[in-house]
Amino acid sequence: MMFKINSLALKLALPVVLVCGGVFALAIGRYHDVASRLLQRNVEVQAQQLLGQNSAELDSFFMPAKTAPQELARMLDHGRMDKDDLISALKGIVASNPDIFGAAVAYEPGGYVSGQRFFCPYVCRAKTGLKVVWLGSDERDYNLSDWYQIPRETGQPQWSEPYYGSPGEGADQSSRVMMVTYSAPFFRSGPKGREVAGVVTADVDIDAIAKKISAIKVLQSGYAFLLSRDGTYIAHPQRDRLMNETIFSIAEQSGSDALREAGRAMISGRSGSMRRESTLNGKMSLMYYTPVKTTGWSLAVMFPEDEYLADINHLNKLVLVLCLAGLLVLIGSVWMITRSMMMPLSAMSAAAEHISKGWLNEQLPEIKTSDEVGKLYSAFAHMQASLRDYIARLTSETAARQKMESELAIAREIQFNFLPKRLPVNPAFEAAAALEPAKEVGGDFYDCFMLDANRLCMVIGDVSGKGVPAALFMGMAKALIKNAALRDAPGAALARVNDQLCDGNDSGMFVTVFIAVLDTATGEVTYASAGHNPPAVIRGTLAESLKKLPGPVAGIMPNAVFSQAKLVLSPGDMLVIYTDGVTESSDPSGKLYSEERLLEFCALRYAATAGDFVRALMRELDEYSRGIRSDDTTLLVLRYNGIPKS
Amino acid sequence: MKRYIPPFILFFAACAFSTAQEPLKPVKLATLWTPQAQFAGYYMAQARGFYKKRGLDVSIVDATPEMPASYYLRSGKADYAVLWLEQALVLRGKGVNIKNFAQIVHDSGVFIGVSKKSGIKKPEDLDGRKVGVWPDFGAQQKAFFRRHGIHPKIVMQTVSPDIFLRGGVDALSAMIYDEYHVLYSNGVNPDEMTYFDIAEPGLNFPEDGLYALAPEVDADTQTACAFAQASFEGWRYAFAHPQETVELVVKRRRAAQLPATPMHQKWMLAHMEQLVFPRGKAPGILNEDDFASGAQELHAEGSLRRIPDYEDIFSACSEYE
Repeated sequence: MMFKINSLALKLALPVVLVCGGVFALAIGRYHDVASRLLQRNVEVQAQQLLGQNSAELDSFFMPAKTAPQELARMLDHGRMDKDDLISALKGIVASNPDIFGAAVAYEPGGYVSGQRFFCPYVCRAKTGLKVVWLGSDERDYNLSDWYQIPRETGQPQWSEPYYGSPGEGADQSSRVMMVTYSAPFFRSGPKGREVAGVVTADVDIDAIAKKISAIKVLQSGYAFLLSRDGTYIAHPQRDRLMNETIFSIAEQSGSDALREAGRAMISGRSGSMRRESTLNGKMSLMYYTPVKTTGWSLAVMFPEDEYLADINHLNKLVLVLCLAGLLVLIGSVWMITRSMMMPLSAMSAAAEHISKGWLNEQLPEIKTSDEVGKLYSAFAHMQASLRDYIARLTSETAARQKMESELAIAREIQFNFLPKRLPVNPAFEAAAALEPAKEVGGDFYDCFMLDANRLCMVIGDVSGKGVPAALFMGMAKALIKNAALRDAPGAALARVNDQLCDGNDSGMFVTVFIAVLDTATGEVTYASAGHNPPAVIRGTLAESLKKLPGPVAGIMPNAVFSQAKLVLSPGDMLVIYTDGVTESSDPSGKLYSEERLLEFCALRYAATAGDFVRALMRELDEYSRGIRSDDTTLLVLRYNGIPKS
Repeated sequence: MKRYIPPFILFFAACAFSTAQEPLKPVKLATLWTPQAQFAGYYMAQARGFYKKRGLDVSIVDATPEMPASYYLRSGKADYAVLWLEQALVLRGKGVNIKNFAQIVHDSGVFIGVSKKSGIKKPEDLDGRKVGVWPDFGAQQKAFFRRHGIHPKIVMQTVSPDIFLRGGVDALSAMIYDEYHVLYSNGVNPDEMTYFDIAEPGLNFPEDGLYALAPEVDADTQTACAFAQASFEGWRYAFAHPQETVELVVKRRRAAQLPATPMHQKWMLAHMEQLVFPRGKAPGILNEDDFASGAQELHAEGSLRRIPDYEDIFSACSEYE
């Protein structure tokens, strides 16, 4: 039972939870999408700001190192300068630009002094101020250095790749710093036209600015990094990478083609973004990059996703917890509601089971709601009460009927005991009788006996009332009639019996009686009737009812006079005496059998024996009434044979 | 478990050795170039004590573009040097009597690389274009140009490929184990490049070999051969332990304040194995045919007036491993 409740609760809760959970999930997903897109846009703005600001700072940092050598180179394009002028020009460059720690003019072999392979004054900062160093030796051929060779070969000013060098040539090697050199070529007219005569350079210490970029904090664990034109790390929080790794070697190491492609976009001077896992902290991050225009480098910032999404993730967690809690409450409520709905139902189903076993007084569970369950309860209670009443009524009715039935049975028994067991047998006549009792109404009787050797007395009667009193009344009437018939003629006998019955008849019962006495020798029938319906006479094919004699029913009016009549039967004639149960038999529609129909029947059966006639008529009545008798049906038939001629 | 012998054990072993035997003989090796996996065998032989095991106290000095290995050898600042055959022949042509006692790299790894954008599709297209060639390492390229009848403008190419990346030259000389991967590490995709393999038949110049002044070798073959054997042991060890080797190389590069990219050294080490222990060639032995054709090309080019005899330039040890 409990399991059923639970399973029903589950059946209800499951779709509710699924639908609500689905709606929640959709809502959270959509909300997360929209919110993270908004945050991402916000991050993009932040990134652009950060990149713009820092790349502008880098640009302005490098700008003097670019313009100063360019200016000197343009001057040298116009003609050679004195050695002293050259040195003071270089000194001017270094002195006026704090970020430039050294500047040089390097000439092609033999380009300044014919036959002199190297000519390269280099002015740099020293503890004591500016100093001049002459570069170029067999061991250190500056013509092969990238800072010289690349602008020479391309004819274009160039930023060298960052390298480790000493601020001040010949200084302590341990003081080497990360630096870049800007080289601007200057030209002269040669035999083959305009050719590179040398380069003007400016050295910049990039340690500090690289450290500054490396130290940029983006959110909590995000960072910035700077790539050279070759993709080499110049600034990055991981110091090992600086000047060692390129973004491509890191991409190769981590097997990321996407990072390689991003790196190619970065070193080709493009701006963009990429979502990737940081190789530094393993966090999925959004990387934004932009070129540093002056040097052709690329500056990038990394925004860790979990950090810029922290707020939304936190909110998401909260919403998720709330949704889960809501779902739990929902499950709980559905369970509770189902349970509270199912409890009375289950109690009622238990009660119904008991009621079905017949325990009608089973106490129904108390339900006071006005919902469907409440209605069900009141209908159920009503049904229980009706059932109880019905059973009670049925019981009492059954008892009453049983009582009545037993009474009727007793009456019936009394009635039958009063009927003659055998009819007289005589060659002069045939007599046959039948009494078909109805269920409730009773009180018919007949009698047939010889008064003497030649006279046959036939009596038929119908007592009013039913039950034992009627039966007893009938018995009494029959005995009185027999007694009177033995002494008097039928009319006088009825008068006597009437008086006897009236005497002390407080209950007001009465009886209709027909008496006929046949003289077997002559066929003469003397008869009298006390309110009984007249019998039929069949003479050949002719059947007719006897004239109704005047006279009341017996037992009501004392001192009544009963007239008497006579009729003569010829041999073969039949006298059909009956009670009203015959003519008042009804078919299912309520139509009565009627005297006419009886007479028609009689006319067709003139040749039958008395016994056959009785059986045939009884069968006819059975068929007509479909076997349902509303009153006792009694027949007494006499066929007169006459005195056989001896 | 890493098979790493703690230094103190090595120290005790060395002490035990030196007390029981003669004192270690100091030997100085000048490598051909800045520290890189091209010389991993010597570093590992030194680090794992293979030289000491043979009674040698080896120190290694790195060459630079400005101070080449030939300088160290010629000036007596190093006992042995790693040189390419072409350099050795040129030195001999200049009268420096040096001798090879172990050939390390048997096959040429030199390519000429061009960007596909340059429109150079075949070697002939290089005619008149600027080609980067390393100072002292250009014989094979020059022989290649001569063979194809072209006259590119030679530009000296140094450590970095930047001159190529910035458009200073149209083509660069590229070692398969070095520049090829350096370009890749600088964002150049292999499909953007065309590499001409210049080691055509007859142009397969043997590269790294161990050289010493000929009188030194002749006087003390035993030491030279012990050095060569220890070096090969070092090579075997390096190829068997790439991670440890790469770490050591990177450390040496850091010490020299040179870009130290583990991925690049790993690449280089992997390619060195095919060159040091190639199929079909005995380790240590200078292939006579390759020597002859290389010398012939140098002679034809004019940087070698007289082709030395094979026996004069190469002195084989009885065994190398």
